[in-house]
Amino acid sequence: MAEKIILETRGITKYFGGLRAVYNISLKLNEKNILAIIGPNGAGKTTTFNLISGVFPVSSGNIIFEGKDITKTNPAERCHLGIGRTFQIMQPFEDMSVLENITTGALFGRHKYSLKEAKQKSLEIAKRFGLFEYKDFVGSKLPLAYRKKLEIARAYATSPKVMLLDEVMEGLNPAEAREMIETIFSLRDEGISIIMIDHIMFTIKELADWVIVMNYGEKLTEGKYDDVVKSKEVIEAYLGKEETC
Amino acid sequence: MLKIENINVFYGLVQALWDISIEVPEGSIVSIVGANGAGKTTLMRTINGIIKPKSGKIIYNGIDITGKDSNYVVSNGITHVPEGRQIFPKMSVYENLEIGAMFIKDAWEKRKETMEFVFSLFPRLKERINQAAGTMSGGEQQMLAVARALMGRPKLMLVDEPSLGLSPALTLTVFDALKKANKEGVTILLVEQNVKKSLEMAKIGYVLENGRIVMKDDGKTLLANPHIKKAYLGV
Repeated sequence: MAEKIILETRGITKYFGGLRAVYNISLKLNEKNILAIIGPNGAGKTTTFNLISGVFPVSSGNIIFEGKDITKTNPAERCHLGIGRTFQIMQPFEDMSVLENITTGALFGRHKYSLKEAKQKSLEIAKRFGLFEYKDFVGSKLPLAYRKKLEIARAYATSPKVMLLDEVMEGLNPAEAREMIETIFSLRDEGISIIMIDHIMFTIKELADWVIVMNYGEKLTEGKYDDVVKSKEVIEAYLGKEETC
Repeated sequence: MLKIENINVFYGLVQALWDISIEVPEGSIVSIVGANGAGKTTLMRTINGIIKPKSGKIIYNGIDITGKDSNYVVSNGITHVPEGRQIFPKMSVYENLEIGAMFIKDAWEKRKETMEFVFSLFPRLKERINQAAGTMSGGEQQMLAVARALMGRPKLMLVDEPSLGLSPALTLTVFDALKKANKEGVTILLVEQNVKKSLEMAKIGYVLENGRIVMKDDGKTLLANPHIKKAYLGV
């Protein structure tokens, strides 16, 4: 049975003034799949996320979500359609508590919960993502790895169909990263399709159904993890002599 | 070179560090490993004076620096790669690097030379020299944070998760840079989630759990310890 494509980009390109940050990126995300984007620092991975989530308008190209062209929609509209995201450089509402941060996600997400429903939902979500003991901490005072979890919890609270995870493994030790792998699988098992950016290779190996490698704003190659990491170009541009965990 | 004796640190009523004692011999690399929330970053911030301990002593080259302000600590040769980059986003790469040298007399005089050295480690920063630091990618900002701390020509460098957000190849570059700096005489106190790499290069490793030191040994011995394997390497 052919897999159903939930999100697709067709040749998206982004210029900042004269700087070409992302060029001609086409990708397809199948429903309930995990797609990973890897590549050197500054390759344009996060910019690609910003184009998909609508933070920046594309310079050219199209973005198709559930068969509809959403290229011209704004980030709030995309969130309501079911595209949730996290930020690599964490953006919690700094003066709000963990619980309030998550509640905000639930209030403005796809289901448009009432305040009462959103509050209740956010308690469940805080528990699920291991944030319950920190629920009253203000966002800015949370230890770094917990701010990462908060990013996921808040994105999850918007009831997304697609989640964009920007380096959620960052700052986790290998044992903690293993827990995060389980969390991401559980999101997938719930029916959420995922695009992730990460550098922690063993997590990509375990999680990704498909890997896209970017370099200098362009797609260098794509394929299954095992094939991609054997590619000479990928080793030269990204992995270096020795593969680190 | 650095001797921490029985420090206790509180956030309000919550005790974050309990009776911590650590020694960092001159010229060595010392690694601290521990789960997120264990208190590693709090310890780094206590050494550099951002947080004042409630009790205990921090002795640096024979001088008591307990409770001294950060500017005093920095001007005595201790620089810091803070967790999560903390670069100055609206200033250029060049200005960020200059600031790294600005408060240490010797480093300021030699800043041109040091800048060449950090550009040789991170050529990408040279390409972006006039760019506002906040517009760079996360990984590039992390390179800048490491480079800025090196600009101070430190005697002791507190390094909090230098590989955060870096590609596998650049992670190797950063560890190589730390080893190079160490060979040139910079003593390093390192906190890093890449437990394997950090213990491999450490002369001494400490394990911090729930605000307490629970183990101390040489790096390689710790790496072979079953508890470390299970709790930190997920093996």
